[in-house]
Amino acid sequence: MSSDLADGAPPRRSSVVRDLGAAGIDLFVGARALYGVFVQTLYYVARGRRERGATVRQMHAIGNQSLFFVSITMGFIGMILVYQSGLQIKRVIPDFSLLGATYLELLVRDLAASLGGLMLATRVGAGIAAEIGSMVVTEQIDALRMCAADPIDFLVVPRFLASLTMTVVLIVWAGTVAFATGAITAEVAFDVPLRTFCNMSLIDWGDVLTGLAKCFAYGAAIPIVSGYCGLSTFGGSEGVGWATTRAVVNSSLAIIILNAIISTASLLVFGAT
Amino acid sequence: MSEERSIEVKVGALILVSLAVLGAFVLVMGGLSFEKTYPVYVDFDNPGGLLSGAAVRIGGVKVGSVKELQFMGGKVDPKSGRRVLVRAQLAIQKRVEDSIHSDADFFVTAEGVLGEQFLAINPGSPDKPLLDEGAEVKGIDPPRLDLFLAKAYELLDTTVEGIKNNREALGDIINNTAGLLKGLNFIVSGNRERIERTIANVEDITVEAKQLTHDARVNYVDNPKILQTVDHINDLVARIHEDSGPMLKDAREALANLNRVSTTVGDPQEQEKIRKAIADIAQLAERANATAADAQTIVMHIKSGKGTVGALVMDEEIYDDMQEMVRDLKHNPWKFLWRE
Repeated sequence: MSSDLADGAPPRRSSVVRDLGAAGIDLFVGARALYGVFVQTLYYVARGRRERGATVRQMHAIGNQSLFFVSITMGFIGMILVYQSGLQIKRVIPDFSLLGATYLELLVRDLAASLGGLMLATRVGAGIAAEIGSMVVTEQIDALRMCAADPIDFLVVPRFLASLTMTVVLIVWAGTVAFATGAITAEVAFDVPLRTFCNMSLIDWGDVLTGLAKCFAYGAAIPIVSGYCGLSTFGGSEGVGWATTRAVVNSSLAIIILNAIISTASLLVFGAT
Repeated sequence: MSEERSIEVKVGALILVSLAVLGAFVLVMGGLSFEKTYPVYVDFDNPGGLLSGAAVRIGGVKVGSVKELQFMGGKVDPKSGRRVLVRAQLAIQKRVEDSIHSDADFFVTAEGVLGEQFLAINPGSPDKPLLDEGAEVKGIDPPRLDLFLAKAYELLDTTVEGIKNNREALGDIINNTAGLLKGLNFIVSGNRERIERTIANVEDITVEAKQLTHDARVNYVDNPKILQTVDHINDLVARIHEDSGPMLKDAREALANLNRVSTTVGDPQEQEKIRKAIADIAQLAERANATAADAQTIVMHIKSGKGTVGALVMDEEIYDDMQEMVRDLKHNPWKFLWRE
């Protein structure tokens, strides 16, 4: 894009077709670069030399330091979801016997992973992109390259491994918190007993496996997308800001798209139960 | 270094908590059992909203799942001889195999009003044999609300049409009914006393009938005499029963004799002999009759004193002469040899 405004080149007329073409090429180049980062990450996971303790530090940063944020947001989301769905149920059929069962199925299959993933995308994705982006603008990445150290191996891989593990851990925790706050809301707002609410009758293997698959997919997607956004930072501090924004937007987008893909696959494999 | 260790501990603790929650969830869920299952096939005409993967429950407890829903297209199943449209393959846990009997009911029902549909099993009566592995049974189709609504709509439509088209006739019927009720009301209110009297009479009759029934019961049902009579009849019947054996034996013998006689008599030669004997007897009687008549004539002659015997029997003079002659011969025996 910046090349369009290069000195000496006559300003061309902007047209819809040109904009569309430019966006398409950008998307293609971006997707290819992202794929490159993903493949390199996998390669270094298998073959790379890791700094001792880097992964654990990242796990602490991604997992433990997100715990409070994830607990608070998912707790409130659980309360809101149960309260709003309870109000709708009350309007249609005042029978709350399956409120807990359907809510739990929804949490296990989708909401815990997707909402938790989105929360992590905002917090973890922004953190990774800002950190790597500022290293890019301060030329630390170039220094790394000069030391014959690949920034993907040194920066992205520990975050990838940490995110993969801690996303699963955090989403399990987030689901538990959301269910607990939902159960309390149901008891307080609609007099649904805890025993009735804690109904696992609608959950099967398909739900659990779908939920876990989403956890791993989001855990892998967030550091890759954010790392790519951080590595492709240009300019100064403004570029870091842009990289952070792009990391959050693209990570969230990746989560939504992966959700659609995994849900469809789950429907095909396990059927509509 | 110690800071790093503290980070490691925190991370480890979080992972442990998360794993514990996940493990507890899987355990509590319980549905993730690796128990052995056995197949049962349930045939439906329309299984409603039942989907593959749906739960199979006995008394609300999950005991398996619907493995597959297969469209059979109404083909006749050679094993059961039934036309099958949809066949559900159930995977039922082995542990409940001893509870499902051959008369078990398989029906589709839902959890809650609009809940997910599942297949419920009524296990059947314990005195029936157990359902075999791989058995093919007929399921009870869920109630078709759509069909019910369609029929109800049709019924309502027909009713409304009928009312519209027969407005006058219906009006007449209503008027007539009203008139009838009015008349009935008039009759009832005008004859209240008589109706009350009739009811009182009916009540009396009921009381009397009750009394009558009671008396009849006392006199003819619970009466000891009748019981005694019945006992006597019982004894009599018992005796007859005792005697009937020998009597029947005698009767059988007599009948056998009779049979023998009739067999003998029934022979054509014997019959001919008997007929001849009867004819001879008749002839003999005829002759005896004639002889008797002759004898009677002779006796008549004798009585009338005719002939030698008559004179001898009936004439006193000859008797005297004979007496004289005998006496004379006694005194003079020589007169036999010599005549004076």
